[in-house]
Amino acid sequence: MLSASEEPWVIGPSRLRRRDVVVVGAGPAGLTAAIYLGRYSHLRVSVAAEGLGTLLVAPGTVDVLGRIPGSTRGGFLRDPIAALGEIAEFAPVHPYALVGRAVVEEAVNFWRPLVGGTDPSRNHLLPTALGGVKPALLVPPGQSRGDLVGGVPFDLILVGFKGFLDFPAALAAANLRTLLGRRGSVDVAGRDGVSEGSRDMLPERSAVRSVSALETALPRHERLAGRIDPVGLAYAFDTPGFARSLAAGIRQALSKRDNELRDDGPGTGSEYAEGRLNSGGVRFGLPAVLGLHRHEEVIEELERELGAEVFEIPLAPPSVPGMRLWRTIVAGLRDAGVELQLGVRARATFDTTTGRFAVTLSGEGGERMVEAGFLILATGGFASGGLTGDQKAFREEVLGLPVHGVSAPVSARTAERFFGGGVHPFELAGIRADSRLRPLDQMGRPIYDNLAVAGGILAGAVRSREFSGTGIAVATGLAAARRALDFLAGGRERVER
Amino acid sequence: MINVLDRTDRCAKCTICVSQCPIYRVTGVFPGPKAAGPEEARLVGSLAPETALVTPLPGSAKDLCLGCRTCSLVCPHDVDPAGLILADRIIRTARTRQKPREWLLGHAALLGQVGTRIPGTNFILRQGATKALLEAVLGLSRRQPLPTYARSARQTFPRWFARYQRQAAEDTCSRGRARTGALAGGGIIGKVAYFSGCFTDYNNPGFGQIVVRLFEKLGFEVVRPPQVCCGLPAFANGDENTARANGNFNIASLGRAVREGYEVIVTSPSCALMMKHDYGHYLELPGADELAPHIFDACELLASYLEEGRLPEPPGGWHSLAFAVEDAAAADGRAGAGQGFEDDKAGGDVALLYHTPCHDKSLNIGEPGVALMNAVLREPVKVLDAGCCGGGGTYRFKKEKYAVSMAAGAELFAAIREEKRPALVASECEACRMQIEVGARPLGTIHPLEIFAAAYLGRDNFVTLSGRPAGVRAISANSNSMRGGGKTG
Repeated sequence: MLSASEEPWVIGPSRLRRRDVVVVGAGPAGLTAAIYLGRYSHLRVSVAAEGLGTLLVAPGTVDVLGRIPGSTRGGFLRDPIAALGEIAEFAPVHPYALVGRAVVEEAVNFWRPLVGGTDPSRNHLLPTALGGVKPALLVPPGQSRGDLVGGVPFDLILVGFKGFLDFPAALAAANLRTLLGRRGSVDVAGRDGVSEGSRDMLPERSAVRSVSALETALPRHERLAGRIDPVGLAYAFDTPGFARSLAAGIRQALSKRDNELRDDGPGTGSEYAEGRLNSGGVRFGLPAVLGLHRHEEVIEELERELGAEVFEIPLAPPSVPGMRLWRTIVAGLRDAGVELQLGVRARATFDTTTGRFAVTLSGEGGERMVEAGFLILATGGFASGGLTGDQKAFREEVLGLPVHGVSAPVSARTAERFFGGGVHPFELAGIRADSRLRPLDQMGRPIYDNLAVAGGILAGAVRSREFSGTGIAVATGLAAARRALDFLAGGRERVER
Repeated sequence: MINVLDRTDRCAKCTICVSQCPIYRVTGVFPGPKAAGPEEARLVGSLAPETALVTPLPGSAKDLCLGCRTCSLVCPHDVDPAGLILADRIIRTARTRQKPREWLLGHAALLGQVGTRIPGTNFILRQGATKALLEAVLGLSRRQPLPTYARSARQTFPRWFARYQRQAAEDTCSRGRARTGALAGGGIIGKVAYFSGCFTDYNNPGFGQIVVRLFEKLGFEVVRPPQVCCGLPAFANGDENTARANGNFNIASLGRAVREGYEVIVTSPSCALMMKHDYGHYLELPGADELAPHIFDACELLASYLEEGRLPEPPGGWHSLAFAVEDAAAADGRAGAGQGFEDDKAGGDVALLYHTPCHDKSLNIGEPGVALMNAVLREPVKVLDAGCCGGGGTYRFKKEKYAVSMAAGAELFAAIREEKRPALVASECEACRMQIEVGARPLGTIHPLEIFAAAYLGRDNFVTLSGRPAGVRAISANSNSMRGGGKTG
């Protein structure tokens, strides 16, 4: 390090920071890339993002591939990794086709400890808060027992809380019963409260024997006096004793329901749930609010008190599983020595003399410049703000990269009916990239060597129908990190020669 | 009226702000940043009453916002809920009248001037009767200790600095010796104008002295232009006019210094945020945007020099500093005073933890305080990452906010208490530090620059100038006197 006396005439602070890699975007793609680089290299890595990413609104799962839309096979994929080859055949520009199956598998293994470590070899089919179903590959332990496919048969009891509108247990149970009961014969989207998205996902054989709902009053808690919401419930569950009181309430409601059934005359017997607790075969589905800090203890406590397995069903945002995952990620970034700056809008230009990117970050504290040897663009698609559009065209926000896909006329961007089940052309729009994730121009030629594009901004996938959003993000994020390592190592070799 | 409405319609109701709000988490009364911010602005039209669609939320509920600005930081769509809530508070305050408590809390400098002139202020403020009276009459929580003041007007930072400068001028004339660059062989590496802030001026003048001596020793010329409170305490309590008046004064005065080639350094992140962002963006004060790029968090400025290798090495070398509890070390008969700590592989027996102030995050400067501390510390500082302290500047002193404020900081307090060794907590923000001292009772709290300064100014300066935390001493790996030839540890 130079001492000041050797260089006394340079006056004033430097307004430029230099980083080996700048990652723009704090969603699953950018975070994968950043943590990977932080862990497996000595590079200086910085993440810059306008705000927190999709993790905070998503249910904390990694969904690799739920089905292949338009494939003749159709329906729910039990083994998404095996189907990756089919995607590559079906859609050669699909992000999975670009990075290949091995990278997808590696990314899944990379995320497994972050999510909490469940069996990553097969898709789970999980109930949603409205009684639809949704496939996911990596599932937090708190949600994994919600898997409706395979395993030991069980009776499913959905538990709602009085005054908590985010989880309408009776409606969800009714929808789920319809869905599972009329396997394959639900013909009109929405009429049964079953979304079109769920219809062709129905499993061949469900592990669920029966679905019922139960509503219980919440134990008293100061935080819930004014408003009952997911964040407040998670806070209340973190209070010792809360889960225990709730479990007592659930048992009470159950025994009341059993008594009512008995009064109505002889039933089939299977409805009398209380008597079958402690003997296995009953699972309780509760809204995903079971504690933030003490989550694992809360689940254990509930299971012990109820004598049955308990799992969480994700809700509309704010997502408590997402909040838990974010805390894991923050620790992961810290351990990996990666800088994180939120609240900044990034704009970048390529400096042809240095061959580096000049990234301008502007936020409440003003503008700052970071010089990046390698840039990873993981700003997401239209919903995340990585892509925008006006009446004339689609735009990429950070560098102004060419956006592939139909943008004009405006009417050509969407299918005729928004929820009609067809693919919306705008969903396929995005940045096209080669197998090194370098962005391509309209002629298909790579534009920058030291730039990798990852996640939702990549063209060629219909994420909402494939259930592939997070999977694409983590796989391309990992591939982008690898590409950065290759490029920077190559760069050094050239300099040394 | 302040400028906040430009980005309101971008709110997609994703609730990411709600998931990160330290207050929403702990109370069901606060409607949360989404409802109190963009929704209130759009539906209720509290900022433009003629467009009102529904009844506004009660002011007392919205005033539970503590102004940490986390919501605006984490919003992925660049909405500014914190600004909208603030604007609503300012409009409500203008419509009614500011309460005496809010007015008083907004005038920290005035309190400082009065407090340092009345003999025995600290004694009076510590008395139970005083606290009961302040709670009953003004609504200041008796459970929050009030800040201590410099013992006399002579001991305030501005008065000390004036004396110090006169002395410097005399030294230069009579002995031809300047203080600046003592370590750098006389070379000047920068010129800084210090905006010291009310807390340094009246409550913690010893810290200001450390800052001045440190910057000089590193090779900076230091001046302190005329200045008044940045205006944030008044602004956050609904008083826009005071914020404007103070802003105009500071822009004129600091602007002069900048035109003379000085860069402004600020040691309190909230003052820096007010001057860099609020002056220009919310208040649209003339000259604010020109001044803003020249305002630096003091750590940020030093860290940029450090990154470029433009700072002299500390006398004891890089990565050599540790801390120990003075009495305990001596009593245990372990490596105590005079023996050095060369053989103590644990790196001293005081753990150094770091809490990032929320407003430091909003400054988008990274974590320069951590970079500085780690450059001189033997064992890297442990960053807590445990969220907001719940202090909110003047918020924590309000009676009806006490419980919420402490609950909001509970996670941070628990993370500090988890540390097995006696802990020093470093943080740039004075309000965070006061809150941490009450909530977690660590050995003491300290500004990162004090840690950095300990490597350059030596143990004596560290302890005697700051006076806090008592009984903790800095240890250099290489020498007892901290003047030995340094080598990187």
